[in-house]
Amino acid sequence: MSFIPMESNPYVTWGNSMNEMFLDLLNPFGYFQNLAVQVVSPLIPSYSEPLSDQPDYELSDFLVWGKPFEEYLNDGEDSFLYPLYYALTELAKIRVRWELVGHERIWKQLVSLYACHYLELHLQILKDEANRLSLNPYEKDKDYKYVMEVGGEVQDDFKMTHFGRMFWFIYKPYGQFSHWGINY
Amino acid sequence: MAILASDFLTRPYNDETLEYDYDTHQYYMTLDASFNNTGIDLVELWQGEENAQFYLKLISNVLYTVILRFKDEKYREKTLYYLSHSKKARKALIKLIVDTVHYNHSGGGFMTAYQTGINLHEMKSLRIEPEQFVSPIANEIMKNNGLETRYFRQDFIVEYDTMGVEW
Repeated sequence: MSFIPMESNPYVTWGNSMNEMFLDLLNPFGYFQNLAVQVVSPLIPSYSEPLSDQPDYELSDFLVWGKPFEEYLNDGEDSFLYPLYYALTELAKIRVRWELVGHERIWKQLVSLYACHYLELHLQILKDEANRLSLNPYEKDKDYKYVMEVGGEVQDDFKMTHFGRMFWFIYKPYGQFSHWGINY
Repeated sequence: MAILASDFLTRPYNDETLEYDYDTHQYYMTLDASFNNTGIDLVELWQGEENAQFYLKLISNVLYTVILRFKDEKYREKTLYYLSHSKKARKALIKLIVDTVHYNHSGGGFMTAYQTGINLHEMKSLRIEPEQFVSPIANEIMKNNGLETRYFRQDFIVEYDTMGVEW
């Protein structure tokens, strides 16, 4: 069987006819089974546009979604939250893959929501009302567990914050099977 | 990193309203400023200038203790540095001292902080909440001026020597 390959995958390999399949059965590591020919022409045009370069991400893009943090970042690089914001957005650009999302505004939304989720959690750690990170006595009355209950069920991970829930609702199809570890 | 240039005071200074003590690192209001801002003659109330000045120092001590209460003990020195070197904090302290003089004069003032709340005659005790050490207005002033935060809104380090001038 012959076919015209597409622009996005202009290669022809063997293994389509009955005879070729027979050869494959006899010698799966044979020369013809590992041969691919790149077709220059004719090619069926690709319907998808080529992906552009990852867009730039600025503080102004973050403040569209992270308005509550605006006053803590309005001193630019001198703001006390700026190093954390910068680190989180750099990580977000790696974890929210441009190649998967492909749309600039959606990608910027996801990067912002990811950073907002962790900024919210870090603010809770900084406040440390219970003195967990202090040599002062522990104040059990002020040990507010940062939880979110929905329908009586305590939510964890990204669902702990409003920003995290917004982020995960959009990014879950891409991220739920990923290993959120060192390399990702 | 340092306090923002627009807010930074190279050195705490004395004027007709506040005087600074470099041993305690606190501001204290002058008698004349207290009278001009509150209309309350403390000299007459406390029967002497020395007593009145001592009373104003006591108010400052209580206010600083209340402000320091919001921050963890590891930030104590940093908080005192900020209160000494911030223009905004200086203005807030003036408002707070004026308000506390009014609060004390109106009854139920900060002396409440020194009440045990224990009534042995009736065998019961009344809990005095830290929020009652100053007036509700003073609590709002502290909140609006960023003095009630658990952490600082600016990143800075304590400089014991600013341009050759010791703190």
